[in-house]
Amino acid sequence: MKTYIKTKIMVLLVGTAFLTSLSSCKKELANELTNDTYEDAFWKTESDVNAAVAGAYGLLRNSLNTNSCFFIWGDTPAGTFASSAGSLTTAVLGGDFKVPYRDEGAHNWTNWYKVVDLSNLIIENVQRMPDNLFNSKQSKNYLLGEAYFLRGLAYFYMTRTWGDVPLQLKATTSANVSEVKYIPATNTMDIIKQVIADGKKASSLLSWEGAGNYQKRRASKGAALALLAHATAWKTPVGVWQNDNEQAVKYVDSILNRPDLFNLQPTDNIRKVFKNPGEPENIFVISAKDSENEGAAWTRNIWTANIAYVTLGSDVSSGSSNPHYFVDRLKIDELYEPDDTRIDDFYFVGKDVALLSKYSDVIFKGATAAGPTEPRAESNLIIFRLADMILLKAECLNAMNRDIEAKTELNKIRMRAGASQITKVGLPLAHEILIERRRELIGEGHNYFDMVRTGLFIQIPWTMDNSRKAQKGYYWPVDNDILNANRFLNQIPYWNGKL
Amino acid sequence: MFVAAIWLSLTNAHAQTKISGKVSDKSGPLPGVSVIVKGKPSVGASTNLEGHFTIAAAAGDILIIRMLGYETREVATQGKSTINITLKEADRELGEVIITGYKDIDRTKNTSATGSISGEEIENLPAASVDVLLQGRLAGVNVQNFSGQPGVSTSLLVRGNTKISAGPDGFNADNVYSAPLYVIDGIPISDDEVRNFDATGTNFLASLNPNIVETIDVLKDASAAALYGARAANGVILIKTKRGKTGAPRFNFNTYHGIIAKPQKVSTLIGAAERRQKLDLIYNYGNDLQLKNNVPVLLTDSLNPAFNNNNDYQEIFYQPGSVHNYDFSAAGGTDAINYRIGAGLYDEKGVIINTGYKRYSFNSNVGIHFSDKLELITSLRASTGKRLVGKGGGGYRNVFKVSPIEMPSSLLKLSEDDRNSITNPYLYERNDNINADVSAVGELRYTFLKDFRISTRGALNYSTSKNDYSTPSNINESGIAYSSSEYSQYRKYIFSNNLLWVKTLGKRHNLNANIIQEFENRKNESIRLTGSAIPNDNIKVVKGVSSGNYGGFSDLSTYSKLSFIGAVHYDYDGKYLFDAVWRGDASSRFGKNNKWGYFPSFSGGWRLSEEEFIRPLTWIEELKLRGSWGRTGDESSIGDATRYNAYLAGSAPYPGATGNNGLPNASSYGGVAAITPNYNGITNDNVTWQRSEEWNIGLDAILFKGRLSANIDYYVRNTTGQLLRILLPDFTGYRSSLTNAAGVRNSGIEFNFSGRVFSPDRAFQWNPSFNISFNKNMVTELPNGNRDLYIGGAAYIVGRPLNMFYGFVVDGIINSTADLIVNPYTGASGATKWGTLGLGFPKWRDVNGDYLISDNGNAEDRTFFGDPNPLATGGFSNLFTYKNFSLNVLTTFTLGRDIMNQTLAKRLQNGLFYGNPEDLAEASITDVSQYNYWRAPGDNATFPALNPYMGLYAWRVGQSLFMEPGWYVRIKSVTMGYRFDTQNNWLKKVRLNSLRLFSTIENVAIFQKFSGIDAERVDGRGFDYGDGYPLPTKVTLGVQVEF
Repeated sequence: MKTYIKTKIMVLLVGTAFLTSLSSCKKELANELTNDTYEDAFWKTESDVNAAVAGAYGLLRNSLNTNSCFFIWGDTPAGTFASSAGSLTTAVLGGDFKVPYRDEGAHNWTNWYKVVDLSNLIIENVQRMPDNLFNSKQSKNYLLGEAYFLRGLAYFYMTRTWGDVPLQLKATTSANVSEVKYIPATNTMDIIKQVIADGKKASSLLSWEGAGNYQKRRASKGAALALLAHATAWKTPVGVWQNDNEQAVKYVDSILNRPDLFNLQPTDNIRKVFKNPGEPENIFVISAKDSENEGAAWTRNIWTANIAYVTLGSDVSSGSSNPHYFVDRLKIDELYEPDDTRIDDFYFVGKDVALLSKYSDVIFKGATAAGPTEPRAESNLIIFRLADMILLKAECLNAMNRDIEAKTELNKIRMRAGASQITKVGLPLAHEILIERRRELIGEGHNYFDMVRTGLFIQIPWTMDNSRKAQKGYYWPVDNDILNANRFLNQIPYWNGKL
Repeated sequence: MFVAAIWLSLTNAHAQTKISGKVSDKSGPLPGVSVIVKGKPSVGASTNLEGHFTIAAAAGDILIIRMLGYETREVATQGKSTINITLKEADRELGEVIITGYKDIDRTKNTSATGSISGEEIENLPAASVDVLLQGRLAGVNVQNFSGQPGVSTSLLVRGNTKISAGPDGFNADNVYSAPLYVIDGIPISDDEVRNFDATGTNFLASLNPNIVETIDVLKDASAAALYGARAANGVILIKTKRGKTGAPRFNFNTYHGIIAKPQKVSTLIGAAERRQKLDLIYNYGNDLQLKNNVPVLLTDSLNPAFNNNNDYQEIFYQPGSVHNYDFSAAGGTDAINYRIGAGLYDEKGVIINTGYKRYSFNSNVGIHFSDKLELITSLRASTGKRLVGKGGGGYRNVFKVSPIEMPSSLLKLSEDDRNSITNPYLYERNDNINADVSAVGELRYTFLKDFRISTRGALNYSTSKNDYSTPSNINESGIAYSSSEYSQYRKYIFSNNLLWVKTLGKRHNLNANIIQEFENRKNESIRLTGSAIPNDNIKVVKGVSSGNYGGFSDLSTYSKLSFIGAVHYDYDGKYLFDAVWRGDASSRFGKNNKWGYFPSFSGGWRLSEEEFIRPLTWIEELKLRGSWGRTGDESSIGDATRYNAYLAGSAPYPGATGNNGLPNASSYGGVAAITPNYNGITNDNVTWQRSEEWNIGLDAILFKGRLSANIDYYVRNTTGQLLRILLPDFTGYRSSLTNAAGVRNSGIEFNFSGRVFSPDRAFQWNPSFNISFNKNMVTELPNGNRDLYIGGAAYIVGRPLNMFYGFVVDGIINSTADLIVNPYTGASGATKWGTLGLGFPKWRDVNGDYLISDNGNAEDRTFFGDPNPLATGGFSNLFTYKNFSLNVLTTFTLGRDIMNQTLAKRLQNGLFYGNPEDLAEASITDVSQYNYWRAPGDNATFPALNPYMGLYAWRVGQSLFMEPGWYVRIKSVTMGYRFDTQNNWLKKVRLNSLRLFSTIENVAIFQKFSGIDAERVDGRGFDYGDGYPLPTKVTLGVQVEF
């Protein structure tokens, strides 16, 4: 009898334990993720969207900073810079775009597609989210507009660099084979059309006031119009895309019509556009403030070093040697008139070389007995500023044979720099505008694309001959990894077999 | 055993009489032997100092005489009143059952492929953890101790490697092995769950004192391993710790002390010889212009102090080591309770400065019989270990501040602080790596309705690992002091219920069945805090830091699993055996569509020795044929939360913003915290278990009255659905996705022989045992349509073994211009991506036939070659005993594999890589005269020119030039022992039961064709690394006392 009771107790105990463990484990097996947010848990509030938009800007900043590709593309082949680093001289002097060890940034477009994908994700989710989740319809539209702007901008960078690229307008949310199929590249003409469509959409959704609210480090209507101006003015030397100069001028004029928000800096304040995002001349910049823990630390590795450290000398950090890119003193004398204020505003001029000082907003942390160490570079990367717009307008006017107006625009920039007025017309004026863009926008990632757009490959130490143009040799090569993975893609004919 | 106990408890006792007797072994009476009446656990006695016992028993009773270290005997009383019994010392103290944690398997009725060793075999060997001691001892278990660093894990593979190291974290040269599941006293622990959140890098098995191990059983085939279902695909290693036995209390004190010899240094020239050799190379190869303009002043200046002080800079990293170990235990038991409680201290000082491992451990195993029916079994282990990690940081292999294979010639340039921080970082830095582990198991068993037993088990495992690091301002380039603190905690509980039914029908049909339900839950947590610009160098924690200089996060990962297991054993008269196991696991790692995985297995055995036609053959004692098929799983290649498409929060990094000194990368854009999807990979919704299906046939034999025993096994194991990253189209923004995409096949044959050369009554005994396992390893399936996969210098090709080398094939040395490849279209000769080849360069094979040697994507000439997986591994152990002396020699071997002599490549390229003689002047150099290198046209050389002006990366590591045979035979350990006669008078006087002296030499000698130092010190890809931790020779002396 005693045993029988014991048995009962045991069975009861074990049975209870069994049932408890079964019911508790149902929940545990679901393994709710608590140390990360994820797709299903996200997209619930306006601040979720705002964080994702900040993420998209972060991805854009990452794309631009990877090997400082904006600079490698836009400035190294433009003939202004010299380099003593062996692996760079061919790109700088020889028009050879192989740029060893910098191919991740300069040849691989994956970073840019992250911007595209997150923009797609924002567009899809925000459209789905009810308006009442947002402060106002306007704030919802603004976030949506930023996503369209970022997508357009990413495609614009890509198509300027590689021409035809795959067009992906849908967010990737699953890796199921049916959803992610390899697709061929889309013609650059259609990419530009998409950029313009996105730009227009952004322009209608974004507000002018955003420029002030976000200190120009996020998109505004002005930024969208600047993108539209550039996209409509874009063409390639062997053109498949016919640019629309008249439309481009209209877009620039719309920006110029808001002098309350966008205005040329006075002569002695020009350097501030790199220091402060919200300066009047800026339209859209990428910021990296140390006060927000976003500055760039010094690194010995020249491939990952921030643009500040590859263009500045040893004065920035005790360990750094001469910069990897510099400008020969003779080049300065050839490019600028002797009393052009930009020589002092944009350079540290030495006896033999001049160093670009646009990215010299470096602050130092960590005071030790030996003085402050730990530099943090925090200059803005300028995507669009008014001087660029004005010179672009001059270029379009010149192309439409409206040289008098073109000269007025050009001389606005020259006047500010204390340079003499230009009186040339026709092609010489076109050359002058191109060179003026070099003087004004050096180091800001424009100069090589200016040559491609105008077809004027002048004052460079290498040649872009017709056969190279015919083989689209003005584009940058596509990374082999991308071509190996996707059999629908082909290398730019000129670069085929050269990597 | 409990089966017998259940049955016999039911038989009634007869009339009782007193029986007395004496128990002795070959050297005299044995005190402390337990004597019990079979079936009556409440009746027992133990022998006194003279070996006498008295017990109450009935005429038909059977006495069980049991003593640790001796074979247990059963003697029928047959009405006698005096019984004298002689006990034989056990060769291997293996229990009659394999205790799997779910069910106990009778060894004679076992139908699966298992290998076992007793704790005695690995007792008192100077190592911090058991895994490194298993080399060469078990067929089918391949242990490669590629590092001699105390307290770190090396590699242990059961039946070949299955891992393609391309899981969630990409290629990791430290993690290229498919680790088995370890089950310590019934608690399963897999490598991936421990690796997660680890702060110290210390081997989790180091928490277990090897001297408390009673047996280690390896479940090799799927039939027994299927009990562990989802985590058993790479074998299961069962470790059982010692428990108390019925008898008088015994106190055991055991200690050994040893020295560890300084290891062999990498060959380096110093002083004038160094200078002479460097100048010789320069003058031999330099042309007039180079000799005129480009001879380093450092070398021409014969008074340069770098070459005059004969400074052996390698010397500063090595020291003689030492090892000390103390164990104390108390064990004993009555019928109601048995216990073994012990404590240990292990302290090893490594042979590289600032390395070592120290562990304090405690364990307590207690069993309580409340009644014949109710029993409680508990075990508790607690330990804490501290590991010194050499220079610290950068992976546990990386112990040198300056790698001895890529050293500069001189450290004279360094300031005293800098040099001190290299030679003795702990003078400045704090680097504490502390682990603490507690595990506890309790199992309550209740027997009811004659044939049934129900048991409930709860197990708890709690581990913490903590790393504290601090480096002062004066030794950092940035001039800033920096500290970090990382703490991780691992907590797991397992709860299982087990119903057992044992029945014999019609006397011959033996049946036992288990139904088990189990729930496991684990939580890993970690906290990391970092601070830079610590205001004062005396502060060695994260404190006093301004707000912008703090960094840190806490993290959490959870896992749970619900399982149901059914296991059935049936045998007919112990002759025809049949087993089936079925397990279903639901894991939280998988989404709801794929949550459940099912793992069945079947096995059968035929004990031929029980057949009438074999019985007459008296030389056959035991002969069994086995066969099995089963399926097991593996989920180690998917993380706890991988199935969630997690977004990265607070993350807007960009190159250059990489937070210095551990501070976080930019976490916001424009001050707004940024969130993005994780573009490293997106999860495939359909990921599921990795599966492994295995066939096994085997033969077990014991012949010639136990003088020879043999086991032979043949197996084929197909692992499929290994989770691998497959590339996604780049325009999705994502890099890759995890997919069940890869497959690996392992097949092989294993032999295990052990014998007793002389008959048991001879004073001199020689017991050799030999095992060898052959394994063939092959990739069967790869993602993206079986496309070749090259990751981290390793190649995976369908139809070929895992981890083949990837690099340039060298067909000799370019000796004349005729050896150069000429492009017939352009006329270019000897073209490479890096420049033009000339005489004395390696003759790289133009694999793709484009007349250009290149490592670029579409002009790739690197290809796969070689095979780092051993064809055969095994061991040969010889135990000699003469009276009280014993000598055990273990030799282990690894045969038939290729390895890459990375050390040689690095030594020869040191200073030559970029073709700049200034580099050569500053680099340390090996004695090159021992190598046949190219000096002048016409030389029939094996190695390229050691030309300081050559460049073109001619001495790169990844080329077939450096491939060498990787076999080795190692005299792993020699143990000598002397056991004092228990009859000895003075032993009796001091009331000692036994006294044993022993001495061990570990890593006695290695025989190899490999030209480097140690052919075992190679990673899973087959790359030797001379700058890794040496496997030093250890010599110990010890004493074991029982009282």
